[in-house]
Amino acid sequence: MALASKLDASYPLIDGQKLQLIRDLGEPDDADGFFRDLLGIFFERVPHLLSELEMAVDAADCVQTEQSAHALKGTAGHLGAIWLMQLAAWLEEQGRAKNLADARAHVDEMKLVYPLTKNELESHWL
Amino acid sequence: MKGNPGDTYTITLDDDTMVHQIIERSTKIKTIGIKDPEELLTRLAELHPIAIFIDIHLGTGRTGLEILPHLRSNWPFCPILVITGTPAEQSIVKALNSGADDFIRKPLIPDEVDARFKLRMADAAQKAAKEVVEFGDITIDSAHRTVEGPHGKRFASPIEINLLACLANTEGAIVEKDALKMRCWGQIKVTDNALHRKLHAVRQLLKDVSSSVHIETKYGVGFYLKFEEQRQQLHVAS
Repeated sequence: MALASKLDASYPLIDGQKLQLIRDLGEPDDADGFFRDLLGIFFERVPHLLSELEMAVDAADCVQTEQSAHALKGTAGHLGAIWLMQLAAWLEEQGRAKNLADARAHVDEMKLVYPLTKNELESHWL
Repeated sequence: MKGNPGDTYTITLDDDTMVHQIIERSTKIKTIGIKDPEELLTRLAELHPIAIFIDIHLGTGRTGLEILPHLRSNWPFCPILVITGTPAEQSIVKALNSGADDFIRKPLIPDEVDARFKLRMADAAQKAAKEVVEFGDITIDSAHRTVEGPHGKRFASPIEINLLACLANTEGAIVEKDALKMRCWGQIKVTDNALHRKLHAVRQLLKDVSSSVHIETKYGVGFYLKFEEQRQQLHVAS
């Protein structure tokens, strides 16, 4: 599948440096479960926002596209999920510009990137 | 995260609970996380935060920008830091003009959150130190919105405390009506009746804490604060 974002397939899913800063807020080895809780929020919130975004794009609802993409950008950004964040930022911008011409392809790419991101977080960071 | 109003805490208004947790850990101060601005507005009276973090763009309903003036008028001396994930500088300027003290960009960087928080707390402490004014036998604490005198201590509304502090700061000189309105209500136009109602409330409040300090009216000019210690002592002596 061609990537709508034009990002290279080797583009990192996670900004490890950024994520480490967040992980360091918890106790060593996540003894207090802080980081696990954050990932839990991420795994719960992203699919919900993604589906909201998909509906907004399909309905050509620019305002809702901008809002959902903005929320997704924030959530992804906090955990250094940069590929998702870039896609969300692009969709937010397109929603604001009232131009959803290539939006669907970007949503599809997000649906592809999210499971990869989830897998990366679960297998390398938990 | 739940908070006991008796403890020291901040408030974080953001529809993403991840933000509540990151702010709490970054500042090492408990935060009461609230997702819905309406909930925050209904709890204004019961909450006494040391600082507030507020997202400009909330999911639905009112935006952070819209409720900022309410927060500022309820907590006049509490540092308010807006969180923004938008590159638009205009919303930051709007937020600062609506009463915010500073802003933090998303994605949050823990050290930056902590540094900005500490800076704003230091500013607030400095401001609070200057905001304790003594006049006659009363002490007006604008930061905590209290007026204390020989008969006791009373809490005042933000406008009442501003009004009293403004009169006390001039050390008994007359403050013109329009200057007083500007100091207490800012750009909002208020009628003379509204000012008189507030003055009546402040007079009542003063009566509760002291029998020596009064607000006097200079008709057609303005108002001033008067301390009548000598007269009181003469009464006692006779």
